Formats: sequence, structure tokens, C-alpha cells
Amino acid sequence: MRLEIGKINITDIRFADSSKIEGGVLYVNPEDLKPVVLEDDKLKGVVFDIAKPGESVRITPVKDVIEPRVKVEGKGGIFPGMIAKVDTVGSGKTLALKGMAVVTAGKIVGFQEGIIDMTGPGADYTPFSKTLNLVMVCEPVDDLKQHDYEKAVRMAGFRVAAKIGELARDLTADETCVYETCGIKEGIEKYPDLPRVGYVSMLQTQGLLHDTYVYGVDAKQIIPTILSPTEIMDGAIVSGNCVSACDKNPTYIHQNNPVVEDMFAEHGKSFNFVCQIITNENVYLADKERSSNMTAKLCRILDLDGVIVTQEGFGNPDTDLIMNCKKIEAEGVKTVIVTDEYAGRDGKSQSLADADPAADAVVTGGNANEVVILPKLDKVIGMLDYVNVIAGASDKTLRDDGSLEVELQVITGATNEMGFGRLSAR
Amino acid sequence: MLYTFMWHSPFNFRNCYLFRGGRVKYRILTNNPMVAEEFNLTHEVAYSDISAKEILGRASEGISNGEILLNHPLYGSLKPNETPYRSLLLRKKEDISFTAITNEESAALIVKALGAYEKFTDKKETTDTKLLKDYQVVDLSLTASAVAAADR
Repeated sequence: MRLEIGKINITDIRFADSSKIEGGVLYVNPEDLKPVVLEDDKLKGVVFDIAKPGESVRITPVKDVIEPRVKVEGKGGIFPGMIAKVDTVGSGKTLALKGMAVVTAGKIVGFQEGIIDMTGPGADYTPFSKTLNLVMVCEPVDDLKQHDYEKAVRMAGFRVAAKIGELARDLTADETCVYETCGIKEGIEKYPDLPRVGYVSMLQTQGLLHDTYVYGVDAKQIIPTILSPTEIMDGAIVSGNCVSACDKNPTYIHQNNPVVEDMFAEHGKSFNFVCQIITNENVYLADKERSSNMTAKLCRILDLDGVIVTQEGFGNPDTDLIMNCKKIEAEGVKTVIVTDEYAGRDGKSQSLADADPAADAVVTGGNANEVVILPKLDKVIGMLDYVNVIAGASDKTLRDDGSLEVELQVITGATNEMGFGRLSAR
Repeated sequence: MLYTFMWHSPFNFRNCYLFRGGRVKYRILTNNPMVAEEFNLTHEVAYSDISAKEILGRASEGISNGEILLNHPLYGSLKPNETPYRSLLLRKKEDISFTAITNEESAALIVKALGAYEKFTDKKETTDTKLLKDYQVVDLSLTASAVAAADR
């Protein structure tokens, strides 16, 4: 499959009377977007705000981060199965608004974390302090169940991102990147001397606040399957995740998967990037067994020489990660796993909940338990109601001077397990 | 000849069971009142007003009596001390349907999970009713995922 990504560089976002993109500036009239959000009768209000890099602004609790895109050539539309029809995407041409993001916020449950600081030490840890953020804080109707609230905010974010993406439909890209994968036979003929390498992408799929969707399907229900890595660039995988902020994969990171990006950079040079395999992280032990068996089998059937495996979340998904690693290696396929660590505040404890000698090549996104002090900022978008109880906080979190003592876990994207951040370990 | 005998043998319990098309027989061990309320009428629920860590201890007792874990004792993306609730599915000793892990592996998983409680000491206790309800809802959602898998 061949996909062109045309990049439209956004240099500023401003509220205005009419919504448009002109000279690299996104002008937004919130009144154009409100009906898009409120078409869901489970939401009774939405407030839009803009947060720019360097501003003294804290956004919390963050639910998802989304990059607006629009499909201008080829089959289907952005977010197939969610917003667009379920056509197979990943070919043709797509325009992406670079340098900006739509950030959804809303307190779905009390302990939900997700902090983006636009300045200060917290900003160094989140990739989304570097984007211009159009933030939407959604207010639910009274007595709305948490499941329904999560879904309403999730879908509203996609609708708004799609609406903003449409503003770019007739624009000329500032830069174009081409991504192309081969069929199995074609790849073998074209790159006979290169190792065949795949990418195993583990999707968090545990239940409320911990779900991921593939072409609109709850990934709990899938058995591992193969994607062209260009499909995710058109939004074939979206996040339904609220926790854990540091190592969940927001939709933005699926769209801009850094493993896929880097593997494409080496495709046809140091290896043949064969495909992306997606699998899940379910709570039921037989599901874990089945999915890891199927993943290892796919690696073998595809005659892969090696795979990169990325995880999402921590805790019992560590077991999925190690099962995948162990079984894929047992098929004679080399693995490199990408994870993060929960090594305790002093960093001295075992990093993962599971381990195996087969996992001898590991990339870490950093220790999520590391404590940081986030100074008080001038403005909060969202709410700090439960700051002492959010995951990664403690009863000492809110200090007398208004600063927050928290673990990196609370910061969106801080220890991302696709390597989207800059942290690692020495 | 031996193969034929085994295949048709009335003593090949596993095959007999599969032909019956029955479900795995299990009980739900929980300290979450919302889980108890949700499954009380349709499943065997052992509810106790004890800590999440004590639920793991109870599971350990069941495992030492021959039960087998059906869901993972660690949460995904919530540290052990972050939620006061835990619900575990245990296949009953008398059941013979397949399980992903053995009785011994179940015991080892519980030991590992209990170790995680020692690792994360930033315990947060709350009496906030709204917050407790949220923790219950999430535990119920994760447990419902496991129950759906066990019942299919």
C-alpha cells in the first residue's frame, strides 16, 4: 500500500468569527464546533480553550490527544469505523495538521490522571507541551454513567478533529512524505538479501478506561491480525483509554507511531518492513494465552527474522509482553521489546511484573514512579478537584505553595512505550 | 489401537466435557459490592468486606485447595494500592474444563501480585463516596470482561 502524508504546518491557533486555515494559522469559531460536540445528547456543554507552548497553563485531566487529518485521495476517510465508513484505509493521500492537536478533557472518574503542562519541568516530560492545543472540556448530562461519558468524550474528540481536518481539504501541503509497503511476494523479490522485520503493536484492552478500537471494533474482541502500517496513519486505531497517562497511547501517537516512522525510514535499506501485527492485552488468562500464541504464529508464517514489540500500560499487560516475547523467540524470530518501568520511587525495584531470559533486548521509556515537582501554573484548563487521589499522586501531592509532587505516571505521554517521548534509563 | 481406545474412552473426561458444551465452573471472589450485586443472581459470588490484598490471600487459600485462576491478579495500569477493590475468578476444583494456567502457576501468580503490594507503598485511603464508586465501576468493568470471556 502507498500513502502520501501531506503536512500542513500550523503555526498558531486563534479564536475567530469564521473557522479556516490561512497562512499556517488555524482560525476557530467555537460556535462552529459546539454543535459537533453537542449532537450527542449525553453531553450538555463544552468549553473550548487554546494552550500554546511556553504558556503558564496546565491541562488536566486529559483523556485523549488527536491530530486533525483529512483524506483527500484513496479509499475511506479518517477514523474508519468510528467517524468514516469502514473502508480499508492506508492508501492514497492524507493531509495532516502538524504542530497542533485536539485535546479532550473531562473528569470521567475521580482518580483519572493526565496532566499536560505547557511550561516548566512538567513540559519537558510530555510531548504535547510542544503542540498548539485546542482543548475541549466536555460536560456530561446529569447522572451519566462513566462508560457513556467516556464514549461521548471519545467520539466528540474524533468528530471535532475530523471537522478541523476538513478545513485543510483544499490546501497545498508544506511537505509530503511517502510511505509504501510491499505485498509478501513482492517484498521477497524486491529485497531478497534484507532481513524481514515486523512490528508487533500491543493494544490495551481491559475494560472501562482501558480500551482501544480498531476500525471501530473493541480490540478485546479481536484475535491478532495484520495491518499495513499505513492504515494507522488514517486513524484505523484509536484510543478509548483514560489511564495510565504516562504510558497509554493517545490516538495522536497511534497516528504518528514513532516505531512505524523509524521502521519506514529503514525500509528497503537495512531491512524489509513487512507489516504491523496488532494484538490485545486482555484480563482473562486464556485470552492472553491465545493472543500470544496467535501473534507468535503470525510471525512464523510471515517468515519474519525479527520484530519490535511495543506495549501499552503496565501491570498485567507486562505478562502479555513477556508471553509475546518468549513465544516469538521460540519460533526463531528475534525480538526487541519496548516498555517502561515501575521500579519504585527509588528506582531499585524490579521494573516489570514479569520477566524471562528471552527478553534480552529491551528499550525502556523511563521509570514512571520517578517523582517530579510541578510548580503552580497561572491557569488550569479542566479541573484539579481530585489531584491528591489521581493515579501517580499521593496525599502529599498538593503542597502548601500550590505545587504538585507527583510521579511521572500522571503526565500524558511521559514514559510512552512506543518511544514517543525522550526518556530512557541509564 | 491405543489411540482409538483413548478417543472413545468414557474416562477421557476432557473430551466428554467438551461434547457436553458446558461452561467452566468458577466462583467470583470479590470485595467489591458492585460486582456482588451485578453477578449475585447469575454466578457464585464470594463477597467479603476485606482489603484487596486480603482478597489475594483468600484466592491463595482457594488455590491451595485446588482452584485455578482465570483472570490476572494484577490490574492493568492501576497500581495495587491505588484501588481498594479486587475481584478474581477461580475455577473450581471439581471442574475439568481447560484453563490457561495450572494450579501451581496460579499460586505463583498470586505470590508475584502480593509482591507488587510491597513494591508500591504510596497507599491512598479514601472515604470519598463518589471516588469509591468510581473504583467499584472500574473493577466491575474489568471483572465483567473476564466473566464474559469465561462464559463464552
